[in-house]
Amino acid sequence: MTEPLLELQHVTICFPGRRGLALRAVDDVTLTIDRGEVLCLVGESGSGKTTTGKVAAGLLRPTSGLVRYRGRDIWRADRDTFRSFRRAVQIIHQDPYASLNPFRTVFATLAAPLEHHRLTRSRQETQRRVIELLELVDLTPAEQFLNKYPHQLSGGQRQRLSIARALTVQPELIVADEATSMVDVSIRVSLLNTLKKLRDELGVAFLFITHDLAMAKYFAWSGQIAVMYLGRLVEVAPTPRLLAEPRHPYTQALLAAIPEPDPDLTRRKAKLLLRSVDSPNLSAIPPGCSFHPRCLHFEAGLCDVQRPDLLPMEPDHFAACHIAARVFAASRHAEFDSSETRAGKSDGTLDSPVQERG
Amino acid sequence: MALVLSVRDLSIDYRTPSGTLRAVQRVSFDIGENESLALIGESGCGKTTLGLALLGLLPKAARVSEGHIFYHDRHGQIVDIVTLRGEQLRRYRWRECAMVFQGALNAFNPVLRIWDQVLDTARAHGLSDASDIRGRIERLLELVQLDPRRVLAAYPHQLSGGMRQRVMIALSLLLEPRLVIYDEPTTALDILTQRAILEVLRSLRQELRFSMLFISHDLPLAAELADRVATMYAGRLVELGSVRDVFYTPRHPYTVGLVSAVPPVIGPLVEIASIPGAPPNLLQRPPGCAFHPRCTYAQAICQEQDPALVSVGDQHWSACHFWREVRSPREVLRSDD
Repeated sequence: MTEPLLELQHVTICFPGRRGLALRAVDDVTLTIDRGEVLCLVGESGSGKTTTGKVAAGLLRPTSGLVRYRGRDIWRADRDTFRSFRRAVQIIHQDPYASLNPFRTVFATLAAPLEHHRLTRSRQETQRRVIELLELVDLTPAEQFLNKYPHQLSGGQRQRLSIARALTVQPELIVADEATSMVDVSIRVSLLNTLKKLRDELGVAFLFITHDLAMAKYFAWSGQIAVMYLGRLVEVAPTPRLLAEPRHPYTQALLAAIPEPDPDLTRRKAKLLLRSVDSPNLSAIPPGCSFHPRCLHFEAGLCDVQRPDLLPMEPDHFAACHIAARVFAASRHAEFDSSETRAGKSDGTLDSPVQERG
Repeated sequence: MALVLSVRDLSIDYRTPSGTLRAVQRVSFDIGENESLALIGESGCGKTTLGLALLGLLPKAARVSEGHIFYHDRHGQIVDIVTLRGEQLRRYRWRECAMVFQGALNAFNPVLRIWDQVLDTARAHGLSDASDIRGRIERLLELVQLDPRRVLAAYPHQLSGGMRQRVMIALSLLLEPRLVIYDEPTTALDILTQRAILEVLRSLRQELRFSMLFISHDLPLAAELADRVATMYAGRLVELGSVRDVFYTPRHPYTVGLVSAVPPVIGPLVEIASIPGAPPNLLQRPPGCAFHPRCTYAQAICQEQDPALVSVGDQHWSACHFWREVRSPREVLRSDD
């Protein structure tokens, strides 16, 4: 049993658009999540990250491509396999208020799936399990929450309740879609810490979807970050490496653009590393590399013609950029030619995201 | 430094079915000429209510129950905005002080071209010469890096969110106000668009020299754009100081909590921490210092006495009984400078 927990292979999702044109929301995305692993999907609005999350959770069937759970193609598997997959992968949405039934108490919200899936055999057992779950998500003292309705909870508490509900069926993977972005700054961290605890103590894997790189860094430091742009994966790497040595010009531009919570650091950052500010529309995705109209390293005849593949720059660092691939190949070549052993790291980066402002 | 605005002991109450709610309590601060002040705090802390009051735009259920908002005009005259009504208030808005709201993306009339909306706004505030208005808005649109001909002929839905936000910023400067209030100016925008807007605001301020008040929950935005930062909690101003003082040597535990909750993206992984508990319901404000139930420094006195905003350094104020003991967790990390 070495196959990954969940794999997306060449997943493409098209939505019907205006005038019969299909909108390609997700384009040839391949991702792997192992047991207990954290993969963070980062991208801006319209990047396809939420749609990818829905595919991973089995809520959306890909237009083409495969979704494999423990090696089995879930859309061609038998009913039982599909059902066990749907239980193993749970999704937490951005807005807990919209996803909780306002007429159900905390107890009823958690008891329903437990009893529906026959995970508890008696009312006492249900009661005991509900309290356990509330304690797991730090809604304590649990007894005080049992009879409350969602509107009587704060935003952070509602999100904890939807996490507890996801945990009722003992999932192996949680897809958390902007799960912390609607709560206030001061309580966001404790919500993240609760999710971290689930990973550490229960071994739950996470597909953590966010636009916030600071949260991605904190949550997925020991995992990976995958960056999406206009439906495609443009860079995938272990978190510390992606943040320190981004290879794709889009990732570099993002990291350079993010304001930091530190006046000196943020004012030292580069100006916008872009040719154009405005993001293209999904209904008119540029040909070749879809980032080329905004890219500082753009080369006519290459980037606007040929679509770059996601290629390894290091054994576990992938980027989809013609220029980065060439720079990397040249640095490898130089390394190979040189008779001396290089003490420093091979310098395959394009530009450092942090530059002194002139 | 010449002042543009001085707010003194301002309190604002809302009438609600469950009683009177004090959204802003005895807040005082100044904004200098060409200065940028960030007002930071979480949802429900009163920061937007305060912003609305500065323009005389409070909703019907709210009223200023005490205090003054002194505006220092171009001729050295001082007016109290709280006492202005009708036509006087209209003249003050846009000409002296403009505001770009959080929902600016929806602030446009969907059936009017941008140019018609510009014209409407300008005429409503006393400009009448269309070619003069055209010249002004074209220059401003260029400053916010938009193509005036294309944008002015467009309907709102033909522009992206970032473009509409830049149009709003240009429009706010049309009547050359001396103070512009931005309420969450970059919320809901992509990071790259947000960066473009920050650059625009920075260069506009250098070029046109106006004062800015940012209202935001977003600390990085304050770090990026503010000269000074004010922290609000449960309707009170709890800390005020230069941007470096507030970020590097905060003297209020709530500011420390906010700063420690937001990690930088660049650099090594730093420890981040939450503030325990949740912001209070303003109908049941905790006695004494409203922050005491969440505060690690709290002692008996904090439950009894609401601390006054006192000077804790050069142009640095904090409302905490134990400000001398307050330490920022990141101070250690920054000991090298």
